[in-house]
Amino acid sequence: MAEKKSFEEVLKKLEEASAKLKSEDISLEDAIKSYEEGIKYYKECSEILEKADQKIETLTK
Amino acid sequence: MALKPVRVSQLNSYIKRILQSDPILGNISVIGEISNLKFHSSGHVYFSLKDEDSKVSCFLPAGNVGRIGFQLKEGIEVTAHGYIYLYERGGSYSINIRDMESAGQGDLAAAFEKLKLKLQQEGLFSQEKKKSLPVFPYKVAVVTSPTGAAVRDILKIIKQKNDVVDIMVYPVLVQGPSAPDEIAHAITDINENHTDVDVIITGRGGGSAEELWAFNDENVARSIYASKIPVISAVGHETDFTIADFVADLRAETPTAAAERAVPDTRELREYIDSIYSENRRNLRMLLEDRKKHLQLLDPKAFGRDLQSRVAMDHMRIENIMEDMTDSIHSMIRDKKYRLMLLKETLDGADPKAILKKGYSVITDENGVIVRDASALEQDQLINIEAAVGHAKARVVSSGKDK
Repeated sequence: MAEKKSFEEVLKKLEEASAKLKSEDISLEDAIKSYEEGIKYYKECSEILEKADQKIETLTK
Repeated sequence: MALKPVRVSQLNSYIKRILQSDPILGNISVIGEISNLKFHSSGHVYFSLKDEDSKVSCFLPAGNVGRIGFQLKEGIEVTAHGYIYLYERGGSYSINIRDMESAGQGDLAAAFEKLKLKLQQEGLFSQEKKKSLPVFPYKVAVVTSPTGAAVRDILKIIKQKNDVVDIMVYPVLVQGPSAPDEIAHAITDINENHTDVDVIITGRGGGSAEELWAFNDENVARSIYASKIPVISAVGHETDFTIADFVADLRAETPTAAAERAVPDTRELREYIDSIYSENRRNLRMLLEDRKKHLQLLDPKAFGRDLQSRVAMDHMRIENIMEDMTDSIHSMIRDKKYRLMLLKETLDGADPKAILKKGYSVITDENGVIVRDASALEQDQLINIEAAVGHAKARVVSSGKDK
């Protein structure tokens, strides 16, 4: 990753993508684009959480 | 030059005038021993005062009897205050008494007042000079007779109350000529040679004024005043006041009271200390529990667990969002597919081939134009027939309007 974004930042983008996807007048093309973005942000979030979990595990051993 | 003879009554009258106008005889105090004491039914008292060589008649009017503060008795020595009165008819004189006191008592009382005033003026009784008693004395000195009631009472009370304090009985005579010096010396000696003594009790049990007299001695008073160790006086009964009482740092009404005041109750003290001890323990335990709980809250494992559950929550959150998004996109595509299908069906319905399947055919002319008016066809004109399956060419046989 080029720049390290905080979980909250990425989460916000994920939520934005989700909102956009659900808007009434979105075109299929835009919907697919939003969905792809959503998946990307979801993976980023997931990764951050995964790392946090591991770190906690290590620290509390 | 002799006067001319006078009558007896004139003589007595003259003597009476002389006697009763004399300033000394008009207000005189006479010391003597009471004899021939007679209490008359009228309330008047008649007696003689005598010494080794002489006697004089005395008359105590009933109205003055109430003033006398002691019991009149044959043989006691008294001081009578009054004036000389002449009984004209008998040619005898007597002392008409206004007031009277027992000689010894009067001396003592006067000496007492004199010494009290002197020491008071010197400041020996001053309240600022009084030392406060130690709260917890370790050693009490008792300056008294080793055989008297006082020492017995004092020891009994102190032992009852306090099992820590040491008691030193400093034996002295408490009455008789050498008593004052012994008491004064004892107090001085304790100050010099028994410096571990925290408080001194000096006194004796009840007795007559004479028996308590040692405690009115000036040397005793000065030794008490000079004492660096606090002194409690405990002389006689509640009603007895001695010079020692005025000088002492504390005057106790009786030896028993002195003992009560001198030492604290060790049983009460122990209970008090125990209560403080257990209260402290309780408080400390509570504090410890409190800190433990606090630490538990700060335990990194617990903290880690909290953090992990937070991460888990976040996981769930993005999971939900993602599922939601996937649902949305799927339902969107499904929706579009459905609409597409509906459109296709509509189109399908409009397809001419579908009509052909029902058994209809399409006829076109040689130019491929659909024939809508069969009467317009000419004889032998070529037409194309297109059925649901296959096609054919045909020649018109005839044509016309309706059959």
